[in-house]
Amino acid sequence: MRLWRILGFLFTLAVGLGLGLYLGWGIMAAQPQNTTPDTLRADYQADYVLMVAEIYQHEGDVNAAAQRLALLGESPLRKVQEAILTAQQLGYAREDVETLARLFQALQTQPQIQPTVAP
Amino acid sequence: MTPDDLDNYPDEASSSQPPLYLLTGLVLGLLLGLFIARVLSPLRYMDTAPAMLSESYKATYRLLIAQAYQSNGNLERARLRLHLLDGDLAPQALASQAQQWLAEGNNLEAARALAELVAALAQPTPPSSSPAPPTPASGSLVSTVSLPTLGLGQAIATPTSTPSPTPTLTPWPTFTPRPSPTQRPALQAPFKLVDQRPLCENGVPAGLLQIYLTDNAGQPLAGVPITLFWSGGQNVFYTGLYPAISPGYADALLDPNLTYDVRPGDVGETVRGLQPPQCKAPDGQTFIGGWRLEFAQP
Repeated sequence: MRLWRILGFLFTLAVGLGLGLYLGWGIMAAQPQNTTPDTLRADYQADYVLMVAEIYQHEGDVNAAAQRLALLGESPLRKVQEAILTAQQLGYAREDVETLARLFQALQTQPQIQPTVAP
Repeated sequence: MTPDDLDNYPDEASSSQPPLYLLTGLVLGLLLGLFIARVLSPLRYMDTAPAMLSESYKATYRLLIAQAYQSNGNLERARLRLHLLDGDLAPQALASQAQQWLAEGNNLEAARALAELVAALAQPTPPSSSPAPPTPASGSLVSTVSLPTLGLGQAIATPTSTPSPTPTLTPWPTFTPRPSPTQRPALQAPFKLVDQRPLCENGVPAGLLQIYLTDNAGQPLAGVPITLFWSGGQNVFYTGLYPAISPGYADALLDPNLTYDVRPGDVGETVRGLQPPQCKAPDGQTFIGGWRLEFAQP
C-alpha cells in the first residue's frame, strides 16, 4: 500500500508539473505582439542600427546613438558589427554600409560609453 | 514530503477520506511547473518582426524612423519602415502619436520630428517616370531581402541566443545613389486669410479652432506650422496630422477666457483678437462655439 501511495504521489506530481509548464509556457506566456527590440530578427536589427547610424550622422551625438542601440541589448559596438555583417550579406548600398562604419568608428573611439536602457 | 509523511495520510481503503496525497502531488507539481516556466526559464521569442513589438517600443521605433527621415530625407525608406511596423495603419498610428506628444508637450523636438514625417507622408506621391532597374543595392531595406517576412505569431521561441561572428573584410556592394531630401512646403510664402466663419453647429467642442491651408493652386498644404499667440504664451501646431480630413487641416482648442492671435507659416497674415464666439442654440440657450479659418497663398 505504501509503495502505491508513493507511486501515486509521484504520478500526480508529474501531471501537475506538466500542467504548470503548459500554463506558464503556453497559456500565460507573453504574446508575440509584446516583444522587445532585442528579439528582432537579424535583418530587422540591422535596419534598426542603420537608422541609429543615420541619425548619428546628422546630429553627431555618439552617446545618444549608444543609448538608442542599448535597446538591442549587449554592447552597442557588437550590435553595429553584426549590422555591418548583415548589411554586407544582404547587399546594402555602399553608402549605407559606410554610414554604419562611421558609427562603428565613433563608438570604437569612445570605449567608456556605458549606455542606459531608456525605452 | 517524505514517504513517512505519506503514511500519515488516512488509508483510502479503510475510510471514505479522499486521497489527499494525490491532490498534494498535483498542487506541488503545478506550482513547480509554474515556477520553472515563469521564473527559472521564461519563454522568450526570437527572430521577431517590428510589428510584434510592444506599444511602447513601437512608439520608440516610430520616433527613430522620423528622426532618420529628418537625417536622410528619404521618404520612401521611412514609408517602408513604417509599413513594417504598423502595416496599412502606419499613417494613422504616426499621426496619432504625433498629436498625442504635441498635446502632452513633454518632448516637442520629438513630436516635431513625427509631425514632419506625417506631413511628408500626406503629400501626394509623384509618379515615377520610368521603373528603376533592380540592383543588388536596392535591397538595402529589410522588406526586400530574400529572407522571408514573418507573419504575426511566426516568431521562433528559443531560450538561447546565437553567437555572432567577427567581421571580415568583403568587397563593397555596388553604389546606388539615394534620392535627394524631400522639399518641404514653402514656409516663406505668405498666407492670406480668405475665409473666417464661426462654428456654431451642435456637437462642436467649445473653443475649437479649425485651420485650412491651401497653396496658390488650391491644393491643401501639409506640414505648415500654425502659431497661436496669447498673453503670456504661444504654441505651435501643424497641418497634416489629420490626413483623413484634409492634408492642409489643423486644429486646436482655444480657452474662452483668452484672446489669441493666429499666424500660419512663418510670414503669414496674422489674425488678431480671436476669441471663441458665443453661439445661440435653437432653444435660445447660448454656448461657446469655435472658428473656422481658411488661408491661401496668393
